[in-house]
Amino acid sequence: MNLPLLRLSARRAAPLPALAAVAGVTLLAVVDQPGRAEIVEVSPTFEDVIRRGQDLAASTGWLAGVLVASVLVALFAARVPDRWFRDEGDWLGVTGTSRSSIVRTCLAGILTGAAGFSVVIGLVAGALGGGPDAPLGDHATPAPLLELASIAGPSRSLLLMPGERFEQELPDGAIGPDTRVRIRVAPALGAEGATTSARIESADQVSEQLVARRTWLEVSPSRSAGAVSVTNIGSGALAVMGPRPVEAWRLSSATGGGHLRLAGHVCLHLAFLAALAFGLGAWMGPGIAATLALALWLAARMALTSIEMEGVLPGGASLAAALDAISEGRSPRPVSPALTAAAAGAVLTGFSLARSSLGTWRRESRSS
Amino acid sequence: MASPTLDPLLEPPKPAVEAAGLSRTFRGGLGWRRRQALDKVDLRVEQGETLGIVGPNGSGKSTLLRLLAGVDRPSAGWVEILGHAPTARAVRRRLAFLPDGSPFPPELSARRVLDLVASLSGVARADRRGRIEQMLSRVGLAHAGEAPLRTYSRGMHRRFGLAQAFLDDPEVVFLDEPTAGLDAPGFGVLADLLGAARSRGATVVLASHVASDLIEHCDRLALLVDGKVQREGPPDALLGAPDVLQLKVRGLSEEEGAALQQRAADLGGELLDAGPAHRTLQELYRTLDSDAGGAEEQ
Repeated sequence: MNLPLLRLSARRAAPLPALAAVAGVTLLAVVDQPGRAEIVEVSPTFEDVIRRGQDLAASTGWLAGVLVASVLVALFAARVPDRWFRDEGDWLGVTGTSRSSIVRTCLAGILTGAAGFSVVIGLVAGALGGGPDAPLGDHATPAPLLELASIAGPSRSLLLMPGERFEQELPDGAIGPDTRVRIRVAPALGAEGATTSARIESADQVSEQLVARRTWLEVSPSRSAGAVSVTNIGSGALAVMGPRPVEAWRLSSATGGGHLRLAGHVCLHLAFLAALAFGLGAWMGPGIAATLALALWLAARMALTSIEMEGVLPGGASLAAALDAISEGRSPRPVSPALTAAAAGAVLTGFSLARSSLGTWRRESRSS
Repeated sequence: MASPTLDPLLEPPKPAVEAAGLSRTFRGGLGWRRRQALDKVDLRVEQGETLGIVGPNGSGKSTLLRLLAGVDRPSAGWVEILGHAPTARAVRRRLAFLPDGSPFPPELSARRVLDLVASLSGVARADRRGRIEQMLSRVGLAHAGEAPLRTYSRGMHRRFGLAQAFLDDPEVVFLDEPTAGLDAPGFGVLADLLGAARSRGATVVLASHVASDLIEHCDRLALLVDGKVQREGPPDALLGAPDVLQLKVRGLSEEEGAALQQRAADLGGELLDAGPAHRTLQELYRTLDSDAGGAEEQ
């Protein structure tokens, strides 16, 4: 692989001003972040409401950073083959390097640039996000780093009227040392009160909480727990928020507070988009190619969501979950083989599209 | 039965460049309008020969060079460089192309682009630096080697283009409008590079719309008009006027000059032009240099 060409492609896929812009967008969202974002106890106090709102702002801000990076990476990647056909093919085409090698090297440079954006987002999230070492108040001790072990529950939301109970069996092996189980709930209409109280139970552990807004009920069961239940013990209605509202979290061995894993999720997503845009850019204008790549990703996400397979698409539910986890001071799950395979498929597709376009280095329609 | 084989020593050398029936059609508008840029061009350039392609703007010179260099594909016909297709890897390591305009990465410095081109051409890393510095000095860009190409003037771009074309001592060189934007010293750089290429037996094909730029460098000229080679031959045969005598005389007074003109008229000649000659810009620059040298000595 030709290093000078790889450097040039990487520089074009991730120019410094664009990296700075993505860092700026990501930073803007977390400037007021007070530190650790994990909520371990729900109360109706004003401080918690503010903190929860800031968690949301951080996660949303990082998502905005990812979105800006997605658009930029797709556009920059699509411009690389456009340059070949405008003028650079005149000198690239007479060098002794094969066309396949040039395509491969340019694509590798673009993926390197995409990784650059991922590192920027990961670093910003790591530097200013809610990490496990960030203190919670003056007397708090560092919490152990957790990562999602399993996710379960019905695909739709359930409504629990006062006195009603919801129970969910936990998968075998889901409960280990320091495991926490939580259920997503929210107050609902249909009963007397606007708020309610709920009890969460798992084996010998019980916790009661006031539910005044959408929140998590959390408990740390013993190893032998096989199920978790929620009982509406207040006067209002309680919604168990689907899909799959029950999460089990276990101790994580992720390095860097899980931010490397977040960068991995972002990197696969950007690589997926960049490779597609690169391949399409060899056949059409860069603006159209970038838009089409983003539209294809969106269509794939909608299609996979409808068949409950959104987890296999880079940048889909897994990335959103990773951002949420980081904003709560927890570690995302490592990237799955399915995600890696999907990104690799996009890279192969991009390579094939670009290589097959190179019968000639000239396109009269693009001549500058 | 074994097929007869030719003794390679008896086999005539292949031409450096050979093309037959070369045509190129471009689609225009929404795709159904077609424009014929080249129309059945036949071309043969022997090894070590320098061919100049002249013609007006839009006559197909750049298209022809792109086809010969292998960066574009002909609609019909074929091209061979040193006996192979121009896209063959073995050939591409032996040819160089100076495209029209400035298609090199504008954000990189001249040194970086030359390093990129040399590495893609397979020049060993250890050799690259020395060659790049030598070539930058040769084309007069050593002082601007670290500046991004986007800051270059048109003439500097052309000098840079020449540097990349001649960087790896190619056997076959295609130069598209090599004199465009060149100043007088730049013409000297081009002459120096072409002279060196000729002396090592390289084949050169130049294209320009200004025939006078090519005459002194070319063994043969081809006149391309409307995508067809209309005339071909040595510069004197193609552009020479055998019944016109050009005489430049130094050291005569005005009266003696008038007497010389009168003598020509007496001999039956028709005087087409007479008057004081002008120095070339290059000669003027040399005068400035020698004046500056004299002032320093004093």
